[in-house]
Amino acid sequence: MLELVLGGILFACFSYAGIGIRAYYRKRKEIYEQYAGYLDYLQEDIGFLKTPLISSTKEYCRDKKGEFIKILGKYCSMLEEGDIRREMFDGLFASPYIEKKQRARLSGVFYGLGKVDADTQLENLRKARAAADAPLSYYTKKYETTGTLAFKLGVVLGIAAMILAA
Amino acid sequence: MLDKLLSESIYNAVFALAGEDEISELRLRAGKPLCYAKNGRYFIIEDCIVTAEDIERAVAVASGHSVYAANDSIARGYLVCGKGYRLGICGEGVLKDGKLFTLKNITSLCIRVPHEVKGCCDKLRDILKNAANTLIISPPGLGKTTMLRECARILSRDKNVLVLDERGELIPVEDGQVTVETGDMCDVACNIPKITAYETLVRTMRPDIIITDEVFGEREVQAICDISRCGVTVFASLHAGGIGEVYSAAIYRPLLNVMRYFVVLEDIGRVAAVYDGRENNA
Repeated sequence: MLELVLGGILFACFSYAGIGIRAYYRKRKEIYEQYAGYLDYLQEDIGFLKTPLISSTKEYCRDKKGEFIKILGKYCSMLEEGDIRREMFDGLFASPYIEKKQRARLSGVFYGLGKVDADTQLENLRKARAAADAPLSYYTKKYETTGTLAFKLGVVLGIAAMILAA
Repeated sequence: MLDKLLSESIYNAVFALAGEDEISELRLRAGKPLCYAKNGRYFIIEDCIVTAEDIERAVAVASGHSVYAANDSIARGYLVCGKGYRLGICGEGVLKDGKLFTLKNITSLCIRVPHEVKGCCDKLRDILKNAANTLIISPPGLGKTTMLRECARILSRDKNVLVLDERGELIPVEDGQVTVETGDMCDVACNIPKITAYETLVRTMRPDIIITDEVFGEREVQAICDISRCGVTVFASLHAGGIGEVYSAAIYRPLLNVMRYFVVLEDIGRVAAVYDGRENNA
């Protein structure tokens, strides 16, 4: 009986670890998906209506969830408070789901938002959107391969551990 | 709003000495001490030196962190935010195709603090009752906008009032919502050049009364004359030292033919004289 309980616990632990690793890769992918979506949205909103950044960002975040949406929420609060020091932007992207080299890049993009005229802003957004394609496809691939593999491996290891324990 | 526009050190320095209700203007000049206006007098806070970052922050907040949305206004030397806070901007011009495109290296700001003064139109009760063409005259900073705002609030209780607010400071609108109290029959055309608004909205919105701030130049004077001939009442303001200056300036003289009342202000919100175009000096 004890072996069965132990086997069950091991199965749960390994599976949970697999699910956790997959969720980690999914969140990394989601951040870039939402980032790319945000840049697309801004291009439309700024191009036609010249909607101010805070309103536009809030509108994009409506009814959405995720790590990047949380970052955008903090970004809006920061702008509303008027605290726009460079280090505040660096702090925005201090997330375990964003690699260090990517943090500086994202921080640079956000620091430059809203500081130029409409034409230059649109051009900058287009460039940032194009630059987001590479990490987006990289993290999507990582999720599909490593993330899915980790999940399957976790389940298989869990089953193996359960059999061994029994 | 000022707590967001101003950095903590400036905010604390000013409001340790005066309340927001008392302050009418703040002057920020990079590298110079902060200056503020209270009861029509200027005061300098020697130990509070304004930095370029303080100015950058105020401009960023006032533009909603969106220069792309506010650049036309910046190129015209001002920004408006919140409930009608107006920032006059002075800096280095950037030209594009020979025209002023934007300002960079902004060195000075003049922040006008709006005040809603209910009752400042008490002396104009008869004018508001008659709702005849009225021109409010004073030098800058004596409360023309405040008075027009109060006129809009009172008149729009029972008449269709169209406020043409080219600079967005007379009846400020934020996210589609009017941020000051108005009557139930008030329409606000915000950030639309006056001439464009005169040509289109007068027909489409069919107002009984138009209220507009700071008439400037021949075209605007002509547009006001045309509108008043259409049977729409106009309440407007004009930068001038007194009615004598309206008489002496050729471009403003046509207003003397169409305006019934001329209200001259002498101090913040204080009426010095009301002239009736028909009777002279009511």
